[in-house]
Amino acid sequence: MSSRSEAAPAEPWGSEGLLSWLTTTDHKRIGILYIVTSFAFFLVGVTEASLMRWQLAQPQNAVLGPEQYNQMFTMHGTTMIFLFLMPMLTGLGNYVVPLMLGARDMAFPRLNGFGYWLFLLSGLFLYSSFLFSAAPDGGWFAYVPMTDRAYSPGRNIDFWVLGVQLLGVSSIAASVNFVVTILRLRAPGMTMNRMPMFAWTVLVTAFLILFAFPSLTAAASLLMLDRFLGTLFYSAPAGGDPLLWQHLFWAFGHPEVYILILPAMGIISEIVPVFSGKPLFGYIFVAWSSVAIAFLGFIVWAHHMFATGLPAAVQAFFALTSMIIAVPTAVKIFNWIATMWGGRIRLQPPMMFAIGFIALFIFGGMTGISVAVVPFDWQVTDTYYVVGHFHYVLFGGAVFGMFGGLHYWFPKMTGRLLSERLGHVQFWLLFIGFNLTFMPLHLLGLMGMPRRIFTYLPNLGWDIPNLVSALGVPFIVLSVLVFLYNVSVSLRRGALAGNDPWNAVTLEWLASSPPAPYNFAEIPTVRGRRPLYDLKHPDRPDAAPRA
Amino acid sequence: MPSGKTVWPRLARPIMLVPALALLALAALAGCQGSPLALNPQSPQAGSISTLAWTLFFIALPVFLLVEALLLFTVLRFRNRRGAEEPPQIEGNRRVEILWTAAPGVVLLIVLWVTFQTMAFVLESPPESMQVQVIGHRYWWEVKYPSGNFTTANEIHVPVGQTVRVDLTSIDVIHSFWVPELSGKVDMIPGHQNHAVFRALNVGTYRGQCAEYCGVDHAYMGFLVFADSPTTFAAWVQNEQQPAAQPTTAAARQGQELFASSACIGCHTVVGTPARGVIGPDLTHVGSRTTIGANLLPNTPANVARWIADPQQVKPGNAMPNLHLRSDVVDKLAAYLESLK
Ligand code: HEC
Ligand code: HEM
Ligand SMILES: [Cu+2]
Repeated sequence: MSSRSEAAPAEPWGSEGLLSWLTTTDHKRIGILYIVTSFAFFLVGVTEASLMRWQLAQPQNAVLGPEQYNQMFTMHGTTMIFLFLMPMLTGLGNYVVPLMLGARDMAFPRLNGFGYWLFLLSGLFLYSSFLFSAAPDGGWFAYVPMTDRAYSPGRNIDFWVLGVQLLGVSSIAASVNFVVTILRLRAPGMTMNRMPMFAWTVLVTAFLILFAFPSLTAAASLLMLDRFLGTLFYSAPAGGDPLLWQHLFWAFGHPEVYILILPAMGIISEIVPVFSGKPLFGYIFVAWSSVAIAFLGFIVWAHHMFATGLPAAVQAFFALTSMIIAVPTAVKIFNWIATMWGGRIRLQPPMMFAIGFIALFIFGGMTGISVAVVPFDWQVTDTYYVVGHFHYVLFGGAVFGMFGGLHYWFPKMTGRLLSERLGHVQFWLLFIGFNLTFMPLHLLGLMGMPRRIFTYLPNLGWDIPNLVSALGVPFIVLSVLVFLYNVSVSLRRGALAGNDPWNAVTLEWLASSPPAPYNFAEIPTVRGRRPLYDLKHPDRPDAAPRA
Repeated sequence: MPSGKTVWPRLARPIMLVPALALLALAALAGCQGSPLALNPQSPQAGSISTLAWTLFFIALPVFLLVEALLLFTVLRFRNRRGAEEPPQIEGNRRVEILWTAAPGVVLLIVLWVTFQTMAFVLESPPESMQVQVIGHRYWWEVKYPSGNFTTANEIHVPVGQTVRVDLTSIDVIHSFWVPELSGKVDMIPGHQNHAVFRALNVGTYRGQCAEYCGVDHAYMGFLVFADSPTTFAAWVQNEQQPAAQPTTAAARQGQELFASSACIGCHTVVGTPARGVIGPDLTHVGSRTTIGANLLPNTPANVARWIADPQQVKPGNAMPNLHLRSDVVDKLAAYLESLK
């Protein structure tokens, strides 16, 4: 490990004041910038979602018109995926991974800053479309030919396609940085086999991004050529093919959902052992299940296209691969439960969110298998059943995981503890609101309600489930407000955290809270998977796993 | 501190209630009229999917309950044991891990097997099927009967008991053909020919709706499938094959002249008249249809007049412009169109 950077580059504009934040290359500050910015986008996404659910609360409601509604779901989906979840998980990774590895910063601190500012810029660029009354309206997967110039002559799709391209560059920059950091900057003695599970999932995710985004870039470039230069890649009358977009997009889009969920699974794999007082059960299985998911994730994309009339053999193949990918996912669930089994479980907020994650992910995972069942998917694809399914994995999964992570690492980032009482209130509000909002959607799908419709006629039996779903939203909003309140109060008046408030086992808890700019005065040497446990129990450290 | 064992049944009951209630709700809905329920199948094709869905459900339900119960039990049993000594630091157990990797694999093999069986059945398209062609437009459905050589829109008639192969494509963007009670979704993609196959088992009217987001009026792109008795169907075909009826009332006759001398004929076809437009729905027998605007409004003289007077107010964003006609003109046009039975 000779190439380890000995210290973060000096902060050119000092360490205080606005200018120091604008010019920072410290991974912790960049992490916080990512987290705060993406959380702001989350609030925007929730607002858009609330408007949509309000519009759909009753048949033929007039909260939003069709154009507005179409912009809302497009921007909601695009925001939640590209401007909230990805950068949020990048932010947590940025803050935590170098600390976990015993490194002083990311491998390329300036590239790191570039990634953040490009993300912010692309986000603002996407949202500037509202100023021109041209917010994107093609849905988050922007199917051609509807998004081609011929059918979307406005600037709306231009904003989307350019914004997404820029975000791709930002994500790739962050991923290169993670790969090099994780492969090159681990503390002495920290072999891959001893690396914290969150670092594992961030590494796998970074590789996923590096291999998946080029497909999106290709798809979007062709669309840009079609739109700006009048080429006809996707135009059927000219011999192009609309399905080309779908293949290219989903070859990115499916790995993308693992890009969103894997780091959250990594967070859960950190929290569950700490709050159970046990090591992660089956480290090797959990680590390699992520790798397996990553590989399989590249050969399941056409399960988004079962209604497009692919040959039966092709559909059968993608059903098969989609079922196989459920196996490594199930493995993780069992390993987490086994980690808790026989442990001493502390039901503090991070753990509550982790348990919530597992409980909801079991459901989302099972409805996921159901949509891999091709004929069943013919009925439910493009309906609210699918909307229900993916909110169970993205919201019930990734967002619960994120809140777990924020509650878990907040003391490290700020030196203060969040209120546990408010944490529990937030959790239960979110858990109840979430299920109220999204459980009825599965029913709606089976009752024939397509997704992406701005309204519906009465007498179809859809009124009550839609109303119930809308009633869940205030709980979710309240829960988010409780969290914000908790953060703002605890930042000033929270109990002091100390270095290691949770009795945790990984290296970030060795550093002070918040850590010094250089993280560690002395780089620790590692000989097991739980370096802090070994330090606390010098009499009986873990057996050192094979290097 | 209550021991985990006494707490568990008390807390477990409400949790178990959730799926039980969901199941009850589903069962209640299966009997309810009105919604186009995928689980209220009216064709063998939709029936086999519905059976598959229930099979899946009853495989998944115990697995779901088991794993959630295991999670809940573990949490409650091992929570907050303050003062208890440090739990044994177990790092794993290769044997049980292999077991719980293999077990889901076996279940999934079974699921895959029933999946393939159902796929084969639903995709089967017997050569003697009746053929109907449906072409998606933003935001309505063009329906062609090649055997009878006539065209209609938004309302598809099929004879009960006859397997029908619907050939699907689109003239503009991607749409998706979906009649939950008769058939799963099949996308209508420009440049591609896809097929939906079904055999209606019972006389009735089945609601369909576009299921691929296609633009502003995606929500208003509905259609109806009428499964008729063979004699009703034959009579319907017989009528559709005729050119447009000659109007009999004075208003309708004036309407016919107004129609023939206005922009209408640039977009609409009325067989037997100079109207040959192909941008909008064929109106040759529009008076015999039950709805207008792609299953948006009941087909009444008042609604047709409302539509002609300002289609953009009725269905904002659709391809028919407001032609700013005087209201007496509108009424005559409506009288004419309503007479086209
Ligand atoms: C620019 C083309 C255009 C012109 C001109 C036009 N229409 Fe239309 N018309 C359409 C289209 C497209 C639709 C289908 C709209 C939809 O449902 O999305 C339609 C629908 C209709 C319908 C409803 C048919 C059904 O079965 O749903 C009626 C009735 C109708 N037009 C009458 C008229 C009359 C009368 C005129 C002349 C005054 C006229 N149209 C002029 C394009 C046109
Ligand atoms: C307050 C919480 C939320 C509510 C009420 C909500 C509601 C909805 C609704 C109703 C739709 C469907 C719109 C339609 O098809 O017409 C939707 C779509 C979507 N949601 Fe959410 N959502 C919430 C949070 C999230 C989160 C946290 C994520 C991801 C992390 C997310 C990701 C998406 C995506 C990707 C779509 C698809 C957009 C599209 O069709 O293009 N949502 N949401
Ligand atoms: Cu459509």
